Amino acid sequence: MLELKNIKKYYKMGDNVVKALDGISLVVEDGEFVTIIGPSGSGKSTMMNIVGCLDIATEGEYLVDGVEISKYSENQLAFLRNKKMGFIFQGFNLLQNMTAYENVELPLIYQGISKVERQERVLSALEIVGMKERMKHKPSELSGGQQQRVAIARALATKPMCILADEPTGNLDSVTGEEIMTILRKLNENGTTVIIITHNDEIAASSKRVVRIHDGKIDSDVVNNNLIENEKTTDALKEKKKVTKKSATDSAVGENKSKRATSKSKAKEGK
Amino acid sequence: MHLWQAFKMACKSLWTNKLRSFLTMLGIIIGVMTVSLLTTVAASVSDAVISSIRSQSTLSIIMNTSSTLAGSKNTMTYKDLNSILKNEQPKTDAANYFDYAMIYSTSGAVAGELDGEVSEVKDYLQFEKLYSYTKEELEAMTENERLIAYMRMAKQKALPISSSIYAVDKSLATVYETNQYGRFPEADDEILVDQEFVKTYIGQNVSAVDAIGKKVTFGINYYSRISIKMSTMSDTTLENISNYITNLVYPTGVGEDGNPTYSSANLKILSSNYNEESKTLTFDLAYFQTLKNDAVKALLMLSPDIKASADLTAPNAIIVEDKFETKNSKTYTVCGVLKEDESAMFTGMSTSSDDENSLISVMMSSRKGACYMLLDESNLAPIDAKAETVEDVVITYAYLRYKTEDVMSESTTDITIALIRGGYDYMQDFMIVSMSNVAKIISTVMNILTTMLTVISVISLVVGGIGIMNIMLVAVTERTKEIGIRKAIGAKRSSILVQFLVEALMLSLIGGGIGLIISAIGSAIIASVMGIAISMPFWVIAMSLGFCTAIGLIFGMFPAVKASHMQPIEALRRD
Repeated sequence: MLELKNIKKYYKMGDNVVKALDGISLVVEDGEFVTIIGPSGSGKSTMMNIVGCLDIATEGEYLVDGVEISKYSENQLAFLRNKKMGFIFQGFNLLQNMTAYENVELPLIYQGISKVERQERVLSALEIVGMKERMKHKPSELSGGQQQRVAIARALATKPMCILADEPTGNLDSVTGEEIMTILRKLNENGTTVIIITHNDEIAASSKRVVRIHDGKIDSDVVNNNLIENEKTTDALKEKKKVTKKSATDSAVGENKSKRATSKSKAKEGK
Repeated sequence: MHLWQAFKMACKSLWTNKLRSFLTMLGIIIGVMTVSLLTTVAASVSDAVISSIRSQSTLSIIMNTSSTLAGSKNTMTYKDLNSILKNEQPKTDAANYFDYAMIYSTSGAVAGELDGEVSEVKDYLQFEKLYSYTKEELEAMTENERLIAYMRMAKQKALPISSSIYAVDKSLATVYETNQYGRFPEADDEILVDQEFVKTYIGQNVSAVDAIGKKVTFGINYYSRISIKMSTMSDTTLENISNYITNLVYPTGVGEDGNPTYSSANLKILSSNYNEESKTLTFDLAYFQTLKNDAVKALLMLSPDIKASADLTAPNAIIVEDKFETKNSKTYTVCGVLKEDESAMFTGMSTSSDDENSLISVMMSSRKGACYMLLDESNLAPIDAKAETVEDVVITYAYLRYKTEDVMSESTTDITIALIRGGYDYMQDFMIVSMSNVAKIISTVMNILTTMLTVISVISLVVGGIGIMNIMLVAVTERTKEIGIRKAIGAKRSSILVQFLVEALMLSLIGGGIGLIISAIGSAIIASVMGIAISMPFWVIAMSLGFCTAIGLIFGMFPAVKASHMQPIEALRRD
């Protein structure tokens, strides 16, 4: 479970302070498929960096599986990313001088997993994305779609709690994009939380939950009932969640004004 | 992350940028090559020079004859020196003390060299006990001791001076003979001079001959081959001709009584050989006295005896070939043969046979660097006009050689003290130069030079290190995106640090390895060119690789730290 409580992220640009995130509160349960959508500059990438433990919020609390991480050191964050997060980027971000196999293997090397187990995991991850046959190829020898599949396999290989995809279809044509989305959906069905960040409404339309961000704030947080109805088993559960989330968001927003004044003391109280 | 993974990654990235990696290494390659080559060669050359000097074990006493200071006792005679040596050195067994002593005077006379005619030295060295030896005694002797024994016996004319030592055991049953090197013969010894021939002339004045090629012959100044065409050949004919040649006399002029005067040609037959096919009788002859070859030919041609005894096939059938002729022959008495393993330096120092006014002692090098010691008997009497006897010869330079360096360094102090007690002023009147001091000075100088060269060449290593740092910084900038990706998927700071550090280390260590290989090849080439043994000491290899490691770590650290401190999101944003 990922829990953002009144997250703020400010950047200093000379004399100005840019509020990239201005009080975001959000709860993502395990197994959800969430799309975060917003125009460019809305702060969605900043949000993804914080959710993905690549960056730390200026203010607010972020709980990963109930553990507050905003005071984590860089190495602790690296450990967390390695264990719990899988990243998929718009530009694939594969290491160019390594083969598909080696790219997928890399996070497992950082985990210190034995060679035999690594091989097993890499092959099964490549199998899932259908890239096993091309694992000896380097990124430059693969098409965009294939590269993104390898990137998904890399994210998958560590068996992460959550896969974060930043515009995963942004560099792909619509057909290939749809293939990638299908893989992501399949992963979600198998229990992995998937968070997609995009400004593509089509993707949003096919998501079970859509969070709209504008100017560093959550505009709306809508559960796509049509899609959920199709999934009969989780129906009632989702409904409940939505209510709790709404109330949590409201209370967080309410707190915001007072928090801004005495951020430090409030942060301690929050704990 | 394991080092092995870092190593594999480093290999991969170095291989991807082969040319750049190589050019970066070049600085280190050249640096290590210079350091190791210089230190190796310097160490080897220094070893060679010093061991060559140490092997001398010689001590020189240099008298300052030009001192004009009042009260300066700046003259020392042979007698003075001997009494000093005799009085101050009784604690050591004299026979084991020196093996060779040579004293030079102003006039250039060699006053003595283990010489029986110089009684002081003789007494001092206790030569009496060396007159006879048993086989066991001889065999137990070092070559030097045997040489002394030989010279001793030779001077006493107990045995003929020759190039051989004769040792007679007490029962007189067996005679042992050494070869001309003062050693008992060994299988590979090449006999350069006919033994019997030389022996016959021992004690007489003979002419020394310059080294011919690498061989040395002495006692012969002409060597000819005479070939005579014979139609028939018998033992009697051979005997007749041999007798004729041996007893040949030739006319030298007309005497007061009007009759011709004759002189012995003094021809010696070294060997004779008759070739059946060509019907040629060949004699190899040697002779000392100046005798024109054509005179020999004429005599042979005109002799009625030879015509009567031999059937010559043609009137011009006698051919005389000159084999050797010396340009610079001088009369010497063969007094001894020096030890074979004298170093070339020693020989070179004393070779002055061309210089009429310098030394009478001549050392000539032969095969295996052997030295022959020849003294001019006529000059053994003092040349110094003021001196009445050899003992009164004024010494300018005394040269003492010791058996071992230890004995010499002991003796240096003793002799210095003795000379001071004898009234000579140290530095003002005399100076003592011992080869071990010279070796010490040279080794100090060599060490300073080696250190200096090493320090200078270490600078080139540092330059190479800066090259590594430069290229690693470029690599970090180039691979910012890669660092971002690695960090995003969970690389810790240390992983990134290790990755870049290992890469820098590999650059410097591979460079160092190549440099060492090149310098090993280089030193082998230098060794063969200079003709000295050069081997790369282990410490040079260890030092070079140590330097490389240090340089890789020091200059790789900054770029690696820079890489490891990059923020993942900023790094990812970079293209």
